[in-house]
Amino acid sequence: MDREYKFIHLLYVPTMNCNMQCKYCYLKENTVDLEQDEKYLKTLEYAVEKFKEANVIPFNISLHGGEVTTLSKIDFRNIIKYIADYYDDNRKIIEDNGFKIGAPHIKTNLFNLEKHIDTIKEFNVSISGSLDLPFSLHEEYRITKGNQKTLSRILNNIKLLEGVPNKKKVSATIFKEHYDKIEEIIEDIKFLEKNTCLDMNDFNFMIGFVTEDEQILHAMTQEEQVDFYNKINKAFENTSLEYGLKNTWFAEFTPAYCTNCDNCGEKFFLLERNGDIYSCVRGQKNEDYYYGNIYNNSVEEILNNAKIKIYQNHNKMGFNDECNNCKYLYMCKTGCPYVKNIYKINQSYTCKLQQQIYRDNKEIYPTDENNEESVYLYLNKMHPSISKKYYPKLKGNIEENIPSLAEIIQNDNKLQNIYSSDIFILDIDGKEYKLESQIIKSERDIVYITDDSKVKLYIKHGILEDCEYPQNNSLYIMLLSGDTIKYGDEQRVKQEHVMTHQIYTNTIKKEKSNKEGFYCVELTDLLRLYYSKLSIDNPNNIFFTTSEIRDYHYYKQKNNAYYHIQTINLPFQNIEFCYIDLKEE
Amino acid sequence: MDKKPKTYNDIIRMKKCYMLTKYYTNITENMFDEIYQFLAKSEKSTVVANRNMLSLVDGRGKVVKTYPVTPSTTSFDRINLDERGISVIPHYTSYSSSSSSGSSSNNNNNNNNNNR
Repeated sequence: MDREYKFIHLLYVPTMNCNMQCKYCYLKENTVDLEQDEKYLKTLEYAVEKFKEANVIPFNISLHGGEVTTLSKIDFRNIIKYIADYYDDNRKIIEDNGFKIGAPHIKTNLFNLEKHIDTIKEFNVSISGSLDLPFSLHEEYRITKGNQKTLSRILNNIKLLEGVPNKKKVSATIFKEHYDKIEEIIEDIKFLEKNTCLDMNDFNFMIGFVTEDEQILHAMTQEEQVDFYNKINKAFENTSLEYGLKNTWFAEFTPAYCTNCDNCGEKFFLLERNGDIYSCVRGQKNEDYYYGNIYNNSVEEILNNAKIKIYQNHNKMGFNDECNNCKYLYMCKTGCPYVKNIYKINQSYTCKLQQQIYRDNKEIYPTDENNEESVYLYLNKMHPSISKKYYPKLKGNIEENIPSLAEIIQNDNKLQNIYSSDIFILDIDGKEYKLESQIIKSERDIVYITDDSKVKLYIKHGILEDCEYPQNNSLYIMLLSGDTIKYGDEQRVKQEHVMTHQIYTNTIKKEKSNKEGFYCVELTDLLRLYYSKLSIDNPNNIFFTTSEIRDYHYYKQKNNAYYHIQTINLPFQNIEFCYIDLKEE
Repeated sequence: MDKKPKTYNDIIRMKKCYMLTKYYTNITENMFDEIYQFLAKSEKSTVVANRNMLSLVDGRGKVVKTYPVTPSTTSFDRINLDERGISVIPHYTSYSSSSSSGSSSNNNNNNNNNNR
């Protein structure tokens, strides 16, 4: 039998060391390794083996920092070789499951690149470098621990990559300070395209966010983000960089990225050299995004912690009802939980920008034709406590040319009472339950009744009178057991009928009611007669209608086949209940 | 379970927790106890479970604890359990696909005249 594998994206941090000290670094004082040992490689080997034993396969292993190029030449080569060999050894299983295998990939500040150029060439290492744009701010923010500027050396290092057939790109994170110098950014992109071996069609902007204690940089407002995007568009539309503009520069918001996951904890992991596992670089060193330690926890524990923590983090700020009406939820998934919690918001911090990008590129990012359904399915997974409210109204299990049950009901006033949710209210031990047609409602309600329970039914005024001769009309009660038997010509297995009871209109009118606008019928004694005949193991079922409504239902079935095929089961208002015999308990 | 139910409400609460075990294969004794105790804390406590996770939600809607769960059947998408009872949400199937949607009418009741 084929084994079932789970595929994950693994960022590995072989060293926390960094040779630079960018003024806004999210790792702050954590960019040093206290110990230099063999763990830089051993931890990755150990983790990959342990994951594989649990049928978890990293389809991508990328190296992140600290700064990976601070490793010694031999250590850097060893780890790159390990990843290259891993891809070779696991190529079939990874590619057979729909993932592409690239070359070993590193995220780097490009400052020490020359030290490892031989290994980069040998293994065709894919490089993703970080720069600040414009260059003037790079010089200000991206400095060494000795307070030296870095741009000139980085540009020289990029030159070393000329002629190397590897993938090489840069990215830049944009804050308010960068946005304020957008004209410079545009010029610097043109400079990089013209004067370096970088293909600037393969470039990324990232939109910066700030934490409360951030002193150096400020985040753009959502309006500024959109303005930034529009100005960049204006500058590069109809140029040789238009492909990048449309496809890669803002790819952070596309389905290829982590923010497109319902629950990124199911797929994305960051492993540190000490074995600690976090969600990603954003969640690194944060307890809310810590999944465990590969040396101390089982893979099952780590995977469970991951999906639980991300689920909980998404739930902290709840769901924004505006996202319900946005036809891009299927791509956005409300954004990164880490940033949502920092900003105390419940939608993506780049919401307006994303909408603008999607609108401008309709062919790549079409609106969701099944948005109502997508919203429900997303909420059912990530916010189940509120998903009921978003249950899709359009339910189609029939061919397009057949009217739906909802349409048939809408066009027939008499049918509407059969399916109305405000004509019967059941009161069990002081708790009221509005009864709905079991065909219309989207959930099974199961309540608990004991032999001591007090049960009464409220019937809305006018329901019993909605006929030519109200005195001939009656409340019609059907009690079914949770146990099933085979019935009739169909030989269909159904819940067993236990009792049918009718109470005529004038009898009901004589009873006192404590609810304005409703008649009241005491059911406690009636139901007690049958408790011993009910199922103990399965929920039993009780239906309420009127004889007039019931007759009309069968009349409609006889006359309308479309109605009949959609009402195979009893359509009347019901509630399921478990019976508890307290004496037995 | 460690504690024997003493009141009617305790028995009902315990029965509700047993109902959960019919829908998930991995509700351990510890989990069962924690769910039972959590529901006893407040009438507003709720248990919300989908096909991956079971959460204890307090009266303010805050997720207090979450467990990974494994469903024992494909028939449902979600279960809510609170003071009022249990709601089981049948599996919803896409209306863009050809199979049936999830209404609550899956329990084979009949409207045939032979059972009138």
